[in-house]
Amino acid sequence: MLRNFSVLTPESLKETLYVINNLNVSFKFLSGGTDVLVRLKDNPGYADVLVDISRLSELSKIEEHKNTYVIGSGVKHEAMLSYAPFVEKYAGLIDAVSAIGSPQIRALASIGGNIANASPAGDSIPALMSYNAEIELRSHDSNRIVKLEDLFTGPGKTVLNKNEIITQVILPKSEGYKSGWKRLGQRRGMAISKVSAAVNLSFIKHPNGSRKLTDIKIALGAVAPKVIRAYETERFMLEEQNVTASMLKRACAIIEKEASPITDVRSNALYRSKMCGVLLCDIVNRLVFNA
Amino acid sequence: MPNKNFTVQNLASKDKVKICFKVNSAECRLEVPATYTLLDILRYELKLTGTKEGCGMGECGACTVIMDKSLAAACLVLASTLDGREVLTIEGISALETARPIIEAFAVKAATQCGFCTPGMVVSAYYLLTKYKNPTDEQILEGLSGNICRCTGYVKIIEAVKQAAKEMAAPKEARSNA
Repeated sequence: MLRNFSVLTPESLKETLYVINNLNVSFKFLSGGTDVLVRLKDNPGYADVLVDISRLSELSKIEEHKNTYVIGSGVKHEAMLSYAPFVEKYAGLIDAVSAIGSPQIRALASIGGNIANASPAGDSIPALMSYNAEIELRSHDSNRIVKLEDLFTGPGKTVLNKNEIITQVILPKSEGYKSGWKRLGQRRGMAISKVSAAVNLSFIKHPNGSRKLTDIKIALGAVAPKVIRAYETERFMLEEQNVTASMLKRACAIIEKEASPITDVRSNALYRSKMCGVLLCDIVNRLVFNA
Repeated sequence: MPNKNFTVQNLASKDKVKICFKVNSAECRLEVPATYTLLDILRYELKLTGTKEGCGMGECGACTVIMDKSLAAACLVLASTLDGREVLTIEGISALETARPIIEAFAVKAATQCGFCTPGMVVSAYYLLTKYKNPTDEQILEGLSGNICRCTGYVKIIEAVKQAAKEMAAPKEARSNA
């Protein structure tokens, strides 16, 4: 059984910002609880106080704006899976979110929590990064927006100040793009990714059957201290344009070098590097050739 | 704006939380330690011990309940987040006429070995079959993906869910004559 912490339940975002600005003890936010409660079980000193933000209506909506979708940080994974515009236009995000945990976890866990954990293997992160997602951070007296890829400083580490909270994920609209996400894990359900990749691309189909890339964004999970964009591979593929087996083969060689994985209990570094290329080819072939 | 000085001492009053929520359609007003999870409340306060604690970390699904029309791992739901919610446990489900075919199918198909995962499996199966009247194999596997059976008797469990789906689709009379 859990012990040794107190719970604060602010009733609004404004009150939350006031509370965290004035708390002088170690605290964690409680949104879905699917990670925080597990950590508290392992380590009772993990936090003295939980600030329960699970009921804040300000954080629990998905809104469509002119050029963006704005996802409240408290939005559950399950809610994202049933949001029609995401199902229709953000296949990579849907692929990733539907692979997280299990139905029991996805109904509780929030998108803000998956991001705030800053796990290099966090599954929604590469997908969101492949759309150039941005994150809104708020404190009692500030409001700033950072690119998702600039949010992380290392495993479990972010640029968030102690009195800041993630309030929104801002997802640019990407008309004319196709996206996908794929991972390798020990098994399909309840597994931490060994390697994951997200690709968001646009291309032109020529009458002769060839496919020319017009844009591509690639993000990799679990192969560096944080989720990374594979910029060099993107540049190479955009220069080459024509998607062919030989182009993909050379892209694999580049992406393997962009990754800097470690060897751990789940997998080894060499395998992880090689698999970045394999996942890239799988996804690109699927998106471009429906293969 | 709350006029409070937030120190650990001042937070002591929050070591217990008052909650009001529904369990199996009955309203529950409770004051429980803030560190209690829904699982603790069900088992220790309400003596509803059908919901099991397996891993206590949301991985095994033995504590699966239905909360506000979604599956949830009761071990990961903290007391303070429960206010106003509606929870359906295995006790509530087993009292439902509509769930009888599931429970019977689990018995007939011998989908139970040690039985520890069974309540959670039945909750997930019930949820699945209210969502899909005639689930595909893929939907069954996905629907049960959060429930682990360490006797590894999955084949029988999947057969039971298919059998239950068939029973539930059949007209009631045909069922009682069978």
